Amino acid sequence: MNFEQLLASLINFSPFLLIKVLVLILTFFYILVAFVIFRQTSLMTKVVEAEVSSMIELITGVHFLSAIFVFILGLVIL
Amino acid sequence: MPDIFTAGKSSSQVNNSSSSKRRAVLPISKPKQEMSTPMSMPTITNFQKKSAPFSSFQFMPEKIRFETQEAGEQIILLLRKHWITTLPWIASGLILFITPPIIFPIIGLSGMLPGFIPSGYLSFIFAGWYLLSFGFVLVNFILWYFSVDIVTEERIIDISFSNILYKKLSETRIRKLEDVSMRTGGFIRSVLDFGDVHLQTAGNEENFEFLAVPHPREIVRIVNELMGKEEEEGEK
Repeated sequence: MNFEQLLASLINFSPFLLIKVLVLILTFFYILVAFVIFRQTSLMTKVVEAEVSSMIELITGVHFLSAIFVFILGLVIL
Repeated sequence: MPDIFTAGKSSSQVNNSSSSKRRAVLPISKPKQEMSTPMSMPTITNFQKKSAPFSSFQFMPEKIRFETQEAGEQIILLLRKHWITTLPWIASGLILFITPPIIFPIIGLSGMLPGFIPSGYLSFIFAGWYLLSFGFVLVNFILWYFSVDIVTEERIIDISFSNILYKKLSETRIRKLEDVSMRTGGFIRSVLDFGDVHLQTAGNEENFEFLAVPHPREIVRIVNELMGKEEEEGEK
């Protein structure tokens, strides 16, 4: 079975399955982006240290966890 | 030229002394015991200490440090771009946040939503939309917040983040500055009092620009005062 046949069989099986796979791949990449934001913010807070730095770090952490949550949500409900 | 750093005086007193002989008294030159008393904290003619955490113009901010700060080096100015420059991404963020509660009911009521789309997809789209919107606002805020221009008693430091992965840190000594000028123009910049400050350094050193910073005249005045102090110290 070549790639085209595999793709055709997937579409015939369920178009939503293909959408789910694509969306989950994109969401997974967004988790990586959110992690980079979190890591970079940790480094930035060392460049400029202020009282609110820890709060900003916390917010980026929440954003990263939210990305994981949305990925899991996609796995479950799509 | 009025004094900008005068210890132990109220604003009015400082204003009254503006016609007196030029005298720059920086906090670093004061004894440590004297520095610790509230009366000896420096004031500026028009600006008292300003250190609100998200302010674009912070004069002698407290509890703020930067990466390459030397022991005993005090931050005189910490500058960010004026808050009005954040308006495009704040407005975009607001639009992104209020769009789903408006659009989803309209689509639902008008029957534009195809019936074969599972309901779970809508929940996921909703969650994904808000995640991306939040990420958009967060990244823009971080880039604005951490891109700062710092003036200390000794140095000028420019820390800029053009994107989340790219950091640029430039610095120069005040004594290497040759000229400082400001540029402002246009209705919004005039009304809100913000503009660009250009700092020219000697020789092949990189020039500095503080872009869209609040109170450019005051910044020029403070940097000039610091340059004067450096010259005085150099002559001694």
